[in-house]
Amino acid sequence: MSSKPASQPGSKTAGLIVGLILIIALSLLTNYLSNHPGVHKALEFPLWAAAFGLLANIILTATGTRDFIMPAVKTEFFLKIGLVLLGCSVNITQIGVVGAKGIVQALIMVTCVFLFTWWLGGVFKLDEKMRAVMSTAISICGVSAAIAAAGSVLAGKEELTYVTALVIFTALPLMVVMPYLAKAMALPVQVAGGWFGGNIDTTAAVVGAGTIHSEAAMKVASIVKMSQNALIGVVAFILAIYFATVVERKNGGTGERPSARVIWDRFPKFVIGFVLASTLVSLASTYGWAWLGKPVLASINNIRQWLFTLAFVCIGLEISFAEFKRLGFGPTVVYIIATIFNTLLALGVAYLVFGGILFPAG
Amino acid sequence: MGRDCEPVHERGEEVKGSAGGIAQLVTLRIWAAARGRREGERMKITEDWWTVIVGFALIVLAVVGLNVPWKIFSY
Repeated sequence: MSSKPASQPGSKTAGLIVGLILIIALSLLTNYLSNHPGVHKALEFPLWAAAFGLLANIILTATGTRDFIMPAVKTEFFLKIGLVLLGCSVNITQIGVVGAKGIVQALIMVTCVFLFTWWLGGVFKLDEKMRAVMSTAISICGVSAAIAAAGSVLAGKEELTYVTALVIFTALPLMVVMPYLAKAMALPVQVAGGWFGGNIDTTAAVVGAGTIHSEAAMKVASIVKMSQNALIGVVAFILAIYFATVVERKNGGTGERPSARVIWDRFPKFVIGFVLASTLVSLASTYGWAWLGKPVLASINNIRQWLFTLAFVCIGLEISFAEFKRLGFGPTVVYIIATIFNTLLALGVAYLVFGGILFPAG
Repeated sequence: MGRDCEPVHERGEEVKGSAGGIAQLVTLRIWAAARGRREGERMKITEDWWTVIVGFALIVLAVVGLNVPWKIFSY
């Protein structure tokens, strides 16, 4: 598909406006169906939103106009604003308890999944840069992590595009299937949330899966995912050191050490917003500030649902069928095996961390 | 397009051979890791902070009572 039309400033603005109108219209349709008697029980709103996004994607791709509206497809932007607002419905104590468990789970998951994917990529003789980008994407948080890793190891655009396409293609099925599997297995809410947060690669799909399961699971899943997101900078830093001192040295470089500043630069700032919002509401609850009472919080929750709906519509719109056709066999197989490993391991670790085995449940 | 917008890995390969260029290569890697490789990616750092700014702006709107549009289509 050509990206020419979207690259011109004028058409980019037009694409942004038209795309936003389309995304808002599909969100309104989602909202209408989710609240329609007899309909909303069948499918939760993230599924409606993603399905409408996907349908629009198919039509736009067939008519060759998908690239035109892509400037408006800002999945992460909408989602992260929604996550900042989610802070208003989570007590700071809960963030402390769940976040601490989430960090333990993230450390186990990131280490095991990264090393497994790195090893598997070696078995399939993938290039070291591709292995680094893919391992980071699967073990941490999909696209953002892949971009950070690509920067650290100076990977080419091809590797990044490839991994990004795989991340987006696997996220949607996982978002749909995992909540129903969790219900079928009768997983406790915290374990289900820990499973979604520890396994699904993109934050948007994690929130989607949590929402489909339950509000409580969505909160746990979001906090766990944010704990994992916070590790992006650390992994980018370690990768930069490894490639500078080991890989580059093998290829004739000097092996100078990079700066730790990358840890802060890559830290997801919306997590700060989430914690600040939670602190504000917790203080309001403690000191009884009426201006931040229940009606206001209900209104903030509504806005948050709207932002999540916009993000879920964008999930459906951002899948590129053209990219999918270009995916090669080796990397795709590695990605799928690593995702299955990630899914099974995340279930076990979620049980250990959130199921009352390593730490008290609740 | 200015030099800053050129792909970082290409610039890195340019300087790889010279002694002084090696330090430049490492600096470029850090720059790339911190800021993102692609031109559009440089926006992401700012965009990340914008999510916090817009989020708190929406909280302020809800506090001052400008929440009617959200109420009409409530979940």
